[in-house]
Amino acid sequence: MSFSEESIITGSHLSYGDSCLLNNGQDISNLANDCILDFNPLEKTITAQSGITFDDLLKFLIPRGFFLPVTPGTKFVTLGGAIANDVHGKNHHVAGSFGNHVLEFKLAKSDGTSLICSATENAEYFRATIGGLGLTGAIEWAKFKLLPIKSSSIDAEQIKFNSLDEFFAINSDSKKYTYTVAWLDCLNGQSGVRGIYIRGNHSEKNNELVTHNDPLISIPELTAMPLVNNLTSKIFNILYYNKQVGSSLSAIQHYEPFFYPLDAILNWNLFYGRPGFMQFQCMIPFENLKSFEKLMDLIRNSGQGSFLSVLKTFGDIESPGLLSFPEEGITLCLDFPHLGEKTNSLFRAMEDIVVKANGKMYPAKDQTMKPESFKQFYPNWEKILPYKDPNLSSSFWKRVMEEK
Amino acid sequence: MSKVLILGITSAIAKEFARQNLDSELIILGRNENRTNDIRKDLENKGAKSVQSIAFDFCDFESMKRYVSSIEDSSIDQVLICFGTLTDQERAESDPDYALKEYQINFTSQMYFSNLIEQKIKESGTLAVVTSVAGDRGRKSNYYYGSAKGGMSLFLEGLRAKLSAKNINVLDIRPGFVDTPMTKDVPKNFLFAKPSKVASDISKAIISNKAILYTPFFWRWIMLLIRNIPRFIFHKMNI
Repeated sequence: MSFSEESIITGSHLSYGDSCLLNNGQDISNLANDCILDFNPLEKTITAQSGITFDDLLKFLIPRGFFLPVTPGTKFVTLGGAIANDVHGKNHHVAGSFGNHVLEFKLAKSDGTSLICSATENAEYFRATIGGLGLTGAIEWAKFKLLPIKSSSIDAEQIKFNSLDEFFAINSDSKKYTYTVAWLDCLNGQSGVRGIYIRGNHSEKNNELVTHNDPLISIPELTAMPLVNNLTSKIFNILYYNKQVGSSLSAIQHYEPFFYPLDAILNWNLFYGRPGFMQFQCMIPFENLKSFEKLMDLIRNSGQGSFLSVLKTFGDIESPGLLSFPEEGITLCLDFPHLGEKTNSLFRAMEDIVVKANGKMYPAKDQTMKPESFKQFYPNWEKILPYKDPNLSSSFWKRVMEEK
Repeated sequence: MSKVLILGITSAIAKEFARQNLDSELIILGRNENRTNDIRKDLENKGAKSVQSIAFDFCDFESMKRYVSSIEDSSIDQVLICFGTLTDQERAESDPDYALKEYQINFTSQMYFSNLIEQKIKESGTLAVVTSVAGDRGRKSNYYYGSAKGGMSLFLEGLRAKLSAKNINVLDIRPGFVDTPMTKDVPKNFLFAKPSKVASDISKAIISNKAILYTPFFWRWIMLLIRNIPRFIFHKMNI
């Protein structure tokens, strides 16, 4: 890989904001580098080029009885992107983030040199690159740990809750579940919060390994009209909350709809039309729960926000990444149709609450965080500077570093 | 086991074709040794029964002669020629030496190899070559590329007629826009096909002994239209 002018190395471009963009720079796509270089079922590891997607990895791993150790809510991310953003998933409370499962990788710098990085070799580069937003170099290949599975199904349970207290009660009762997450309706609750808590484990009951299919539906780019607005979101939320008739429901689900419900519709983001949407994801430490409630009130009163808001608690497993996002606390994730200044001002207010609550916002989702906020959220930002490649950058980085 | 020879394995289309033919005895040739080796590892990890990888410069005609003479006559079931570059039209117009080199990659080296490999292909085997829809009509925007591909298509047409006696099929593969490293600088639109789709179209066309494959299928009709636009209108168009 040669990047002699200012560049950004990209994969699937699935970060929501500008961390995968570089204005006036060269976008070097890594997608062609997708070979599986080594697979060791006894050691339970795999080594692959960083342009491979989790989609392709699953197609290879599932029939061979393995799953990814950590996966975000879409399987179309690349291995490089998963490392650069230190992605997390529904199992953070037991497994940490993706960076916790990376054993080593080869990093190429723009001066032509390359290094093998691991916890014991070039360890500073290892820690600067995990969650390092692609700023330290081009990851050529990476070796990571696999999770052995007997079944491609998940034993899943869905439980309705009508308050934050109820959420926490179910949550502390869910320690033996590998995967936990809650879908939240923050538009219709009278006060407080209601939603559906989802928890699951890899099935031991059904011993079949069935790989997922490719999506059938793809939204064409011609839909300029935003279909997602306050009214449709409210209606969707009411229908979604009420489709589960009982207060709790058990089912055996294939991994595809359990982990990747939105992947069924390619380009779902186009439902927001030309104005688009912004995503907000923050994390607030448990001791500042009051601030979290303030945040929920602010969002409900704004009347903005859409369906499929996500709530989860992070565990205490620390990532090796210096700029890693997940930390012990509660994380909230929402999409907001972009309504102009109304939305911008809501984001400023939400960021303000997160700053005062000693929380963090996630760069992979961000378009708005202020430079001072970034530096407060990620006090280790200065530590990665010696490892940053001079020819790599991103619009996100320039924004938070206040560079031109 | 079918013996399949693939030239230009680092092409996205060739790589996907190999991935879809893991049950065959694969011989993969690529110009870049490291990348060719990486693909061999990928194929082996995915269950390929037999893969041999060779680094090869397709414009090194002496090496090509030596390599082909080492192959046993009538021993190969399928040959896929899938290497090439997207010629920079503007540069070719002002630099005929560049244009000459491009012709060598996209046309004459492929002609040379086809000539040598002819007797190494089994009866009822296939010689498949990736040309392009660009070869269907000379257009002002890309006629250096188009003529190299079109010239190759004409060569294949004659070779097909000759080899029909030996029951060897000559497949002329004409892709439209494909999302690969070759088109990385071209803005993508809905017409762009995935390399895996093109590769599976090629596999099907080989099985059904097709002569000319347009992939995806709708390019056959687009090019029919383009070929029949009257010249005085065509000259005014910016395609």
